[in-house]
Amino acid sequence: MIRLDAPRRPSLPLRAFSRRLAALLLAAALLLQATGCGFIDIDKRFFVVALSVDKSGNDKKPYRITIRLSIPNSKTEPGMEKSQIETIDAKEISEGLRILKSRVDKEIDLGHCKVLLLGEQLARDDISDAVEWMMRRRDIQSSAFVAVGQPDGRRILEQMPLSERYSGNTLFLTFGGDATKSSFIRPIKLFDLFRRINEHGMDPYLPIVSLTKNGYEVDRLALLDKTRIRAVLGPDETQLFNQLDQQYINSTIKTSFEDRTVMLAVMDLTVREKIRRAGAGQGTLDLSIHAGGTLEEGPNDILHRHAAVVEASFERDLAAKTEALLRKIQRSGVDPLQFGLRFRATHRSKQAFEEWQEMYPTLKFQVRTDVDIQGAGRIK
Amino acid sequence: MNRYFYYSFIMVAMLNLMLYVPSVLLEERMTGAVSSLLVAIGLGTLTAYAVTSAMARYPGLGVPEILRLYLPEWIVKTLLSLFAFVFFFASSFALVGYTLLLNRVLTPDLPAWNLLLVLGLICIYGSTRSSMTLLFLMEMTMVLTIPVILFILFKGIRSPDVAWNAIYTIAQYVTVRPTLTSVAAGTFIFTGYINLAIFNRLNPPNFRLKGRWLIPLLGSGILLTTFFLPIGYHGTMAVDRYMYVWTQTADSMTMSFGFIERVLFLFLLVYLALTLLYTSIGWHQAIEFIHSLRKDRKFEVDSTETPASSWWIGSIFFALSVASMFFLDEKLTLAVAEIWLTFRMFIEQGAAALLFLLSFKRPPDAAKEAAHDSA
Repeated sequence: MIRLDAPRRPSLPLRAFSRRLAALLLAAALLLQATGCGFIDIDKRFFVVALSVDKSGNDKKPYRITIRLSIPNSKTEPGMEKSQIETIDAKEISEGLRILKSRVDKEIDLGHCKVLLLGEQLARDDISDAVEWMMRRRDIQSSAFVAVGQPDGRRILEQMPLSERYSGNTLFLTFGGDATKSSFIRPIKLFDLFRRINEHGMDPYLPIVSLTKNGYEVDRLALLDKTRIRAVLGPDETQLFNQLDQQYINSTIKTSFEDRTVMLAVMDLTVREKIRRAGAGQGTLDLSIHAGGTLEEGPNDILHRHAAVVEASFERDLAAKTEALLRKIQRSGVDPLQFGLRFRATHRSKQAFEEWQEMYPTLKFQVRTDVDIQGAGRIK
Repeated sequence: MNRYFYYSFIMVAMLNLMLYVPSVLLEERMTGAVSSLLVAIGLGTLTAYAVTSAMARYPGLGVPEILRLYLPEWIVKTLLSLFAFVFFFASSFALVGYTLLLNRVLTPDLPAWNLLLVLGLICIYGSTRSSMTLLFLMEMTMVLTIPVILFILFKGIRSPDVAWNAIYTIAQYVTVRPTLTSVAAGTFIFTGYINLAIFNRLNPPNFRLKGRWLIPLLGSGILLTTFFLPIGYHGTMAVDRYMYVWTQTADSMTMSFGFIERVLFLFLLVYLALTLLYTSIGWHQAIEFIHSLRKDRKFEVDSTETPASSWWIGSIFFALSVASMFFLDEKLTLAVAEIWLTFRMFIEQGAAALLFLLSFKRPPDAAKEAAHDSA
């Protein structure tokens, strides 16, 4: 800015001035260049909100990739969201995605893809290539949720839940834990899956998503060895898994008393484990569970007259169910509860993992439970 | 003046979390990294104490002036060129490394040298400012970034995603003998005191550094987090499979109620500020070392006019960094980093020992005069 009336300052030497000018011009030129390439405006991008990888059944093009693209809408009302589904069969996942790009008019952006689905067929066969690809792509979030789609991932993506305010939101909310908090849902993030696939003594699991009339049902858990599904846990087992592994409160435990079901809403839960090695290939896992909470269902006057009996009954049932679950997991030859890693962490030996592998198939379980009924709700 | 020392210490310690230190350490996690960490904490603290005590005897003097008090001119000149090179290399390497990282994660469609041009120009400008300005710049940047980095670190440690069993498992490898590369990588965390080499010129005559117990405390805290938190997030095996393990760790965290959900972008932004600051300060000190090669040159800590030679030297540094971009890739960088970390440890320990020994000699009267002159 030049102000004519301002007193003249001693002018800069010409050289210094030209140097400044040159620097300014250089900076400007660089900035222009920097924004020129690699930048695509937001209205020229298509945001993928969910992606699924299935098996196509065709040997030449084994992968079926489906993406759910969000179409921006001026209104955000439940049920008003619009999505576009694109599917392709391809030999490699990355190749499939590149061909998909030629079918849509905007640049596909994976930066907002928060749900990754693996088809059930794929998960029963081999997930390692698909997970490796997801992990290697720099634009897929490491904190995205991974799940198994039943019957396949594509049909999960095609479902448009009624209450969805924007595309893909139902699945985000289901797994995110900010909206629904259910003890039957066990989400897993991509980096955690990758960690478990590589780790010695900790195996992966994946929640199973299936369809209902208006949305999704997520209450079962698939247990995997490093590559494929070895066992599937039902809803009750999934809840127990959550309780054992994450000490998940706001969950329930069940028993029966005089032919009536008694439910306890667990408010505090502590699980302690200790692994003892008795010799080559032999060992015991001591698991002690302490659960306390209030009753949600039960017979009349339970708190004063029957509390001790019901507590004992709870303890017996919980111990039996826990042992059954642990045996089921053990029989499948997987270790999602990271007992192996626990053993490695507590046993100072170079061969800790080999010792563990040797002893896990015949490991004995000793479950001790302690249930405390702290209240009976609004009725005595 | 105390706080400026700790800003510089924390800056270097935190910057290394993003650079090659975790990669080198994690690669050797089962073959001696854990015991090396302990050795590095001891060695790093010891060197930091030695250098700060030595420099405290010469307030108002930088390393070039101190060396001139005792050593013949040709040794001084050799040492100064060596130091200039070390400062230049350390900071340019950080800049190039960060550019490669940013290019990989944030702007994959842009050529990497293109990004370096923009970042490098900022560093030229920063490094040609006066020492005093740079200290103020450092304070501002650190005040803005430290809370964010602490937030990320605490968020990481408190997360239920951390597998503590994996951390305990790796901690048991403490009985394996330490290795040279790991010790070298570990001591780099403690290198922050080295910025006293030039910035000691700004210390007033009766300056005493207070709170030195913070050095082992902060240093070991940051070093252990650098090493163990990624293991907690990625387990004992997968942690070695990542190219940029801390970027990956930041990407594994989410802030559900933050403005940006992905912690990664916050992390990158903060480290952009730290890298630019670190490189500016490193280049500035290299420029000052080169300036003091001339014996009769009087240093100025708060000059109003930037000497033309500063611009020229800064531009040469910049040109060298850009040129290195054409043959450096991620694989080669990691290999160079390993050699560099070890090489720099020897230089640094040597320089620290030399300064410490010199400080036992009675300073000649010239030293006192010089100190009074500059004060």
